[in-house]
Amino acid sequence: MAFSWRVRQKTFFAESDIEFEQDQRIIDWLDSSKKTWVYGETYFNDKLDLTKDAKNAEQALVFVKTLMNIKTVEYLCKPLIDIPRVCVAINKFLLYTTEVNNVAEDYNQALFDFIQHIFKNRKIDYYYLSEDNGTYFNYASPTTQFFIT
Amino acid sequence: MNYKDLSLIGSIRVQYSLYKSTHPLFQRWMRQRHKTIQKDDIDDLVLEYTRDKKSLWIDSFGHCFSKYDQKIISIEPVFAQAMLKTIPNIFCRGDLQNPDTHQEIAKTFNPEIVVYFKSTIFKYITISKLTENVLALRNIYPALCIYIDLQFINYNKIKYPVNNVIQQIQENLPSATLKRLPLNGLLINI
Repeated sequence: MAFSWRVRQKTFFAESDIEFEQDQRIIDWLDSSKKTWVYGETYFNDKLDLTKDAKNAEQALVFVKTLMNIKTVEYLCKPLIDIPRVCVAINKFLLYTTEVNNVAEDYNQALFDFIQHIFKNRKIDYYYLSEDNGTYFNYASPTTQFFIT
Repeated sequence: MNYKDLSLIGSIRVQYSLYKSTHPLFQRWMRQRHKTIQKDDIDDLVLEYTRDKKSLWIDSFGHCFSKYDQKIISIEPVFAQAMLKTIPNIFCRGDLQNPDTHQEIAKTFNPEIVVYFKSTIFKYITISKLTENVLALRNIYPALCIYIDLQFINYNKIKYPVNNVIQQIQENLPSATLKRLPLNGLLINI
């Protein structure tokens, strides 16, 4: 049986029933009773009331953990701007652009500005690691997260 | 939660999983070890640079190519020692980020060229740290051949395309020869 990298990493530790902090934050934030549209991750499926129809979703979760052009992220998020609660979790190592963009020099600030530009006039709680040295399981579970209400 | 906050199980199984996931040549060797290791164009390129030289492959599992170059010596992180101890020409060292460790390695093995093949040492670092590390190693070893994956380099990925990043690395390392490779790969020879 093939295990996901997230499941395999959990077996490395003596502690049982661990949840990565960034996953736990998403679990705590999402409301399991609301109709949820999800992109890019199946890990949370059994904790959510899933819908395939983004237009009728009450909340949404977008997971970016594959190599992705920043324009694709924008394309994915734009249809979600009217959903009351949206979580966008991004592995920031996996984004790319094909042209120089006029954005903030600081990557974390530029990412925040990017999400704020899509979800205008919304409250955004932002979590990120300023020094990500690969010890936070971020290839299994993105550590840069936006919670939009 | 950082994995260092938890109690990592010190079993061979965990060491194997961690090492395999971070060392692509070990992954390939495990998959093909009962056959001849298949090389691709990038392997050929790196092996061309090391041909007829005493090469030292650090944190890269150079042993994968030992059938093509019997002179390859591998230096691996000490956490993998128990797992790799029966394989010939592999030596383990503690802190592979420490210049003193490299001084000792250079003195002991006297390599003509040092290879880093997608090594963890060149992951999760900024461009300036990458430059600093390359220059520090170049002060110790006579020649370096470093194959990195730019995906793992920490820079503003929504501001700069890969070409700009390569240009910046070239400006920081004017004496190096850079070659862009498929899938965000970059070969640095200095």
